[in-house]
Amino acid sequence: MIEVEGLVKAYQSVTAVDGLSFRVARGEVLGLVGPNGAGKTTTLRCLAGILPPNAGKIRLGGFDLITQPVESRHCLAFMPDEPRLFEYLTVEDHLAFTARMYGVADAAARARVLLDELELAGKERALPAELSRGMKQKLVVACGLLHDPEVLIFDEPLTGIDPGGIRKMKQTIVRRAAAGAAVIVSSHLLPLVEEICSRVLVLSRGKAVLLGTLDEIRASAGGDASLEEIFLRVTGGS
Amino acid sequence: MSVSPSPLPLVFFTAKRMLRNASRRKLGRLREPRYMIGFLVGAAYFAMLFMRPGRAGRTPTPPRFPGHMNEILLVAGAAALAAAALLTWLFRKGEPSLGLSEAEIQFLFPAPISRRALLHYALLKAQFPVLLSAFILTIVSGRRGNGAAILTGLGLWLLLTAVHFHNLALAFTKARWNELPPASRRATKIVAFAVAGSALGMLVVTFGAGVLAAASGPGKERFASLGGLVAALQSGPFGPAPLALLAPFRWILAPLLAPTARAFSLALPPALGLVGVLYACVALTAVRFEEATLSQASRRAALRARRGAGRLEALPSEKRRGTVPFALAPRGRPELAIVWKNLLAWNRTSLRRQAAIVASLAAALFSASALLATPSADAAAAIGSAACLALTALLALVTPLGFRIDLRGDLEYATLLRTWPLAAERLVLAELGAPAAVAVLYGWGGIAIALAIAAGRVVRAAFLGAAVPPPPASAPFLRFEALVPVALTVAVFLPSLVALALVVQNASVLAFPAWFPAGRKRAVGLEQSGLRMLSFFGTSLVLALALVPAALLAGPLIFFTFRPLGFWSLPIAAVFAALPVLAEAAGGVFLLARLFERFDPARDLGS
Repeated sequence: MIEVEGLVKAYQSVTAVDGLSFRVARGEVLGLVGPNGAGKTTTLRCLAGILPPNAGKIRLGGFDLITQPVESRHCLAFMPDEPRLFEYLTVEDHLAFTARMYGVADAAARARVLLDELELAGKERALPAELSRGMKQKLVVACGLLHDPEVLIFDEPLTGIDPGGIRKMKQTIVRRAAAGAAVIVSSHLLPLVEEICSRVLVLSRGKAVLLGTLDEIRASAGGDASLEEIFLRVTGGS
Repeated sequence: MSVSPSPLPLVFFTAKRMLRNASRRKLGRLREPRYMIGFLVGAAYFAMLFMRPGRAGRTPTPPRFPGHMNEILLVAGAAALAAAALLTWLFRKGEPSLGLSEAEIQFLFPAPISRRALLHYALLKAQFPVLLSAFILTIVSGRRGNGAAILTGLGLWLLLTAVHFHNLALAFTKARWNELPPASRRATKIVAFAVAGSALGMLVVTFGAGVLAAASGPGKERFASLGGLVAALQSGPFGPAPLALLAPFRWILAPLLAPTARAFSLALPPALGLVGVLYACVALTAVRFEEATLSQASRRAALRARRGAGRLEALPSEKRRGTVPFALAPRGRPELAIVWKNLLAWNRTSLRRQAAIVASLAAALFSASALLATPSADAAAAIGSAACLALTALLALVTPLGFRIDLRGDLEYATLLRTWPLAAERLVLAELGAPAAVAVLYGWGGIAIALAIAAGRVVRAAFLGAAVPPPPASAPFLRFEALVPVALTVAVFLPSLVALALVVQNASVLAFPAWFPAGRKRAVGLEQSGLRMLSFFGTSLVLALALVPAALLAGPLIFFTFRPLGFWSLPIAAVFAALPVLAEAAGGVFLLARLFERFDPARDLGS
């Protein structure tokens, strides 16, 4: 479960996130969309504990991110848009490292399943320099899922992945939510959001301009407009 | 009809904007007080270095060579240049790359400019590093003979430009050969290889014979006969041909080695003519350079990325990738995972294997020390032991500076580190673990080797009846009885000293990330060299201050206990001295944790 209340993050004179509040329940996939510079990545980075917020409360899995940072991070997996991997660690080294960091007892068995699921089997001894961008992204996801986190945050999870990989990645996200994880997916791909997200949060200039299920959002827009049309209308796009 | 724009404004525009933007960015940082303070300290340090009394107003004395030495320098230099050029014609592959960056390729290749203009853009752009190199070399070498520094600079510029044009002409020519039909290509390469090989062989034989002849005279005559080197070369087995071959190389070197302004002006026309000919070779050779330029740009970008991650060596082999420092169980303290990861960043090797190597080395040196029966063996063993100890102490100081397998390296991954379920203090402590372990374990290994060497002589004396000779009065610590407590002192004090040095180094990166960049890379450039000097100066100062309490504790202790305990007072004092240093290091870890919490990846790394 993810609870955000009155989140504010400012950089000097720019307020990137301005009083944002929302909740993501277990089993739910929240789609986070917004134009460039809307504050999506800043919001996700605050949720992941990378950036300290200026105001507001964040609770992950029932733990306060500010006062109980270690416990809340134990519940979390953050998959950034740009895969950050240690250049000198192989695929299996990354998994071994993550297992120890999160104390995963049956790490070997879980790693085997994840490598198969994400089509990384056979690449165990590969270094990041030898992986394509899509494979790097998959390795980040494998490391994130290894400790079976309650909270999953994906920032542009489909970048650089081939069509087969896209299908598997979508299945992975939906399966984790079905297993009880609270998931946030930030993406510019509105069809992806329509396909896998149970609720949508539209951000514009750091503020929530729409929040609800797809049906609720369509109803509020007064008809059966597509998400793209609604998105452009509320964010001021043409 | 559109006209291809001149490349000159393009080059100056990009150079001017890059310089302006870089300067603005650097000056913008000075608005923050911490960078301003750092800048003022650095400026004061460099001012002290370059403007101290005794240096100011001192005019460097230019080296003066007799006339025949100038001629010899010219001939020898021309021969070296000729040999290098011939070797490149023999072995260098033809890759007609213009040396452009990926961004330049992206913007300029599809742009409406002619290939000739693109070539000129690349040639002009290459002049910036050529001019900078000429400037730096002029500063380093100073004036030559009676010529002014500006003439030295001009001579260097001509030489470097000629080398650049020659290498490009070579690459273009070889690329042209590769475009020939297979039979013609093979024949051309065979002929070229034969000509270049013969010319190189002729040079080697002629010079070998000439130098032997010139140097064959005894004593003072040998030097005097060097003046006749040129004559010896002319009368060699190939007659005047070798000197004729050297002519263009002498032309291009002559302005640089000209002893007077008049000699320079006389040497200038042939050198300029040669540069012109080389330019014509480059400009008139029609060759496809796009693929090679793109390929080189990609390789450079990949290399930069690897340098950015601090790895210049080749990727480890498939076999080595299975080797880890130690087996990492999935459960246990997570800090060990960070130490394990950072040890892998340093070297993909097993700690157990390294311990076995050190033990084998110690055993081998012990055996050699015990078995050697030569009269000088005792002195050699004593000096070897002491050298080993000194090396160990040096290692302890240098290792924390050189190995960036800690927060300094990992701060590039700050966005990832922040998501790890570890409190900041534990994370910082774990990050310091790997370099500390490397420095301390290798230090202790060095101490063990030092003791093994000395122990060999003692065992020999005890079991083979040979007497251990008394040490020289000036070096009482070379006695084995003294070596053990001295070694123990180093072993006891080493961990605390390493910990403190690591804390100071990491604190500088965390507090001033724009001045001491994060990452395993060691940035290069004049500014970075200066910053490294400043960092070393700051580290030394902080360490010296931090060691004051240790010295205040250990000094009196040694003073009062040395008479009854002798050298054994040293390890006891080391224990007491290590306590305040460890306490300071612990305080430093707390400070580092706070700095890490305040570290903003978006602001400090731009990520």
